[in-house]
Amino acid sequence: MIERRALLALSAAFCAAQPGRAFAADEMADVIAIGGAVTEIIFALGQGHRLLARDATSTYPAAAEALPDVGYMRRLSAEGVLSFAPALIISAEGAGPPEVIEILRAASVEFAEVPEGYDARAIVAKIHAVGAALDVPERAQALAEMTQAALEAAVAQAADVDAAPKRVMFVLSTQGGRILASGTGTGADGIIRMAGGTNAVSDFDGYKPLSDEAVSAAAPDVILMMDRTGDHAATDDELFGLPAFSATPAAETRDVVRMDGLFLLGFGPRTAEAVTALNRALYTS
Amino acid sequence: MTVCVEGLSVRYGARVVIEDLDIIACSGALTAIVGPNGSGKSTLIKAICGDLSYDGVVTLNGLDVASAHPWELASQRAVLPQASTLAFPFHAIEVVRIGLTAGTGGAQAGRAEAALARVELAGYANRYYQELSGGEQQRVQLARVLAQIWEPCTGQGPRWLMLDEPVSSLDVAHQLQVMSIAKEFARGGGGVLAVMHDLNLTGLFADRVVVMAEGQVLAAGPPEEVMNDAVLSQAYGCALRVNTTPHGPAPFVLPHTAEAHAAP
Amino acid sequence: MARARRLHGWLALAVVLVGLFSLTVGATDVALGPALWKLATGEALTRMEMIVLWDIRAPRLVLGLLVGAALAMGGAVMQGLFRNPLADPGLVGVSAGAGLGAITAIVLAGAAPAWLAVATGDHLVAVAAFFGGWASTLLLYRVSTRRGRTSVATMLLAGIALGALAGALSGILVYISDDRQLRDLTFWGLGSLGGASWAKVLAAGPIILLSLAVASALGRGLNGLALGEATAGHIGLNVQWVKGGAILTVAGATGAAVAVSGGIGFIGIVVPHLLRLSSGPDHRPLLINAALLGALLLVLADVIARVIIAPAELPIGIVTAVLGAPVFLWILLRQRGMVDL
Repeated sequence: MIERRALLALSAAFCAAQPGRAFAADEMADVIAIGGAVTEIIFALGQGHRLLARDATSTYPAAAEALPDVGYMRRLSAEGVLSFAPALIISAEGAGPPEVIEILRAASVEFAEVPEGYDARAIVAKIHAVGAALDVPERAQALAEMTQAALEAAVAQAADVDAAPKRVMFVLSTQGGRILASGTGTGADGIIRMAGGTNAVSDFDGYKPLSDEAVSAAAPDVILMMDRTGDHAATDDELFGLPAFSATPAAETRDVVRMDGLFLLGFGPRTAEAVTALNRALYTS
Repeated sequence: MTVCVEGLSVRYGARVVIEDLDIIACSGALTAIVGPNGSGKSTLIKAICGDLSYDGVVTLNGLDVASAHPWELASQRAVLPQASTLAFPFHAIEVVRIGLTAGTGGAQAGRAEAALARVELAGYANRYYQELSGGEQQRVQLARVLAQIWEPCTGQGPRWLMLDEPVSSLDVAHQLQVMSIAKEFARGGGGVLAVMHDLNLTGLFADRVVVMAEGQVLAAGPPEEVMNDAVLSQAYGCALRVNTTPHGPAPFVLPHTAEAHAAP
Repeated sequence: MARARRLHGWLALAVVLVGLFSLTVGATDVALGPALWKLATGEALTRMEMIVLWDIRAPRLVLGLLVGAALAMGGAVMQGLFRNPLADPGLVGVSAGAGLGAITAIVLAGAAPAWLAVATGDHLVAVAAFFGGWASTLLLYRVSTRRGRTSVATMLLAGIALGALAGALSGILVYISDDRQLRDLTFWGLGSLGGASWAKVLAAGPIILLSLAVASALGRGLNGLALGEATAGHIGLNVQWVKGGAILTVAGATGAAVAVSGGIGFIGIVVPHLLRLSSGPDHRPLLINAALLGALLLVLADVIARVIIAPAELPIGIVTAVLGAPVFLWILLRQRGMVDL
């Protein structure tokens, strides 16, 4: 707990110390961040002032959202990226298309890829990778240690619950009454386990549509969803009105948890908070 | 020169439509093929045009129809189908010009216009084909056919006009006009083969008549000889009385005189 | 006719102008004029200018011209062949097959043997889409050809069946795909010239140009087919050559276009329609005009796609659909009652 508070203080200090790009005269802004967690880590390392632009998924912190958006990471525009004349792109795994990456490399833009992963170790590895790319290994080391400590504390606290572990089903969308749920090997699976829950769906990898019967058979105690608008949004009434959910324990208690997607599934510096928040949402109702 | 059909048999699946049929049609004459519905007359002209696969031999001016290239046949004969559809909104003159794309040589400049004038549609060149009446469309198609084989007879021999029920959608004045054009083509040395429904126009214009029934030739010869009570009654399955006008030998048949279904 | 031929010149001029425009606009402030001036005065271009003009905009322009011409002419040829102004290359199975090929490559790329990845480089999806399109077209052609005669009606029906089958197989692959592959599939289906490179131009260019050259000779034959297959034969056309030529060139041109750009809709239907309305249905000028107008509109759509939300870019299929669908509706309203389809 102490470590976590220290981490927050550290982050706050960094943020306070960088009112704008003008701040660091010795460091020109020359970096583009691709991927929500990558951007968060860059800001947490106090390097937000070095960013020129970010991708569509980088919506936190607010300062990141104020940066120009270069679009979806798999469909980058070569000229759009080059228009910022960046020296370095730090990207989550899988940026593309390959032809564009090739052109960017040819234009002497350095390209650092940060490996993806859905546990504490992966988050630490991400922080080190971003720190190395930005040439701030000491800060990265400090942030990594604090993040790891905070995560361990959060996970330990989450595991320390008297009640039986709840079966949680992460539902990506309910479009057209079709339930797209998370199996194993996803960010949702990772966060559910860290927060002391059990993934109600463990028969497959990734996100797949479930039949109504499979949803009933999975018998989730809680439905976990992303908090967003548009076609993925569904009110509680709509949700539990679906035949798929009507026979689940979650429908009886009308237990649904909605959290911000990037906060919940980003696997970045805020994940310890997310673990605690989700744990609280699951077990104190 | 002739259209010569020997031992022709045509099957649609298992059904035999024409069996072992022989006919000869000579250029310089209008040969009409008549017969009841289903007698095989349209099938016969399709086979002669090379549209169907068949057994037997069909030659056109000595050219084997089954093995000839499309462009060889196109330079010797043109075909007016029973019904035509057009996929895109062409102007009448463009439809006629499509007939010229066969490129049968000679000076083609102005021919499409002349062909439209020939069927009395000179002012219709820039009208949309789809906006014309059924009869006008049929005459545009005739103009296209005429443009394709403009001279009835060339140094290489006669050319042929194949007409499948050419007057079925026309009023009486235009029926006479179209038949006169066909007759004139024959007078000019070309050959005309026409599938006809109207026995009176047949009697009036045909130089030779082929009467078909059940995939066979029932009778063939000049209209005065072939178009008699016995042959027509047998072909159509009802008692028909053939008469002639006081003005000439052309036979005519009035439905009024028929005794329905009282065939011999 | 004369009007349609005059259109060749105007369209060619417009293509050149739009081409120059597309070279000069973009997310960066590199412009064509200053670069040309530098070249003229012997001054060296900056590295940025070289990369933006030569490696990004130029291959993208060339690919856009090729793809636009291929899609529009492919549409015009298909409409002529099927005697239906609503036909598009999708009817001969190119799209379904190419889509299946692309989806297979996207989803199963991880499971592909190493030599395949080496052989195709980064272009596995494009190669798979091209072969998928060709394979399905050849299959359809075989199914609908008996004793040397291709039945266009059979082809239409078999195309629907094959499309359903490809859709089902794609559905299975979609089911086993992960979240990211799913997004890749969606974006592929929306089309983009974003991955344009000289390598793609060199791969797709010869196929498209050869197909366009062959297709441009089909005008007379397609005019004849407008009168019906029997009549086309009567006026001396080898109908089987026309049909075979049309199918194979469309498969080649649109197969290559779809392979390098994904699914770009509406160009193939709207462009021939606009031209028929403005300058008549004669296929001889129409096919050339369609290639020119298709190239023009696609490059224009691409300019819009890459500047409207710069520094990001829209999938070009969204631009063509947003612009094309209303135009298409307008055409249908105008044509209502005038021509019985």
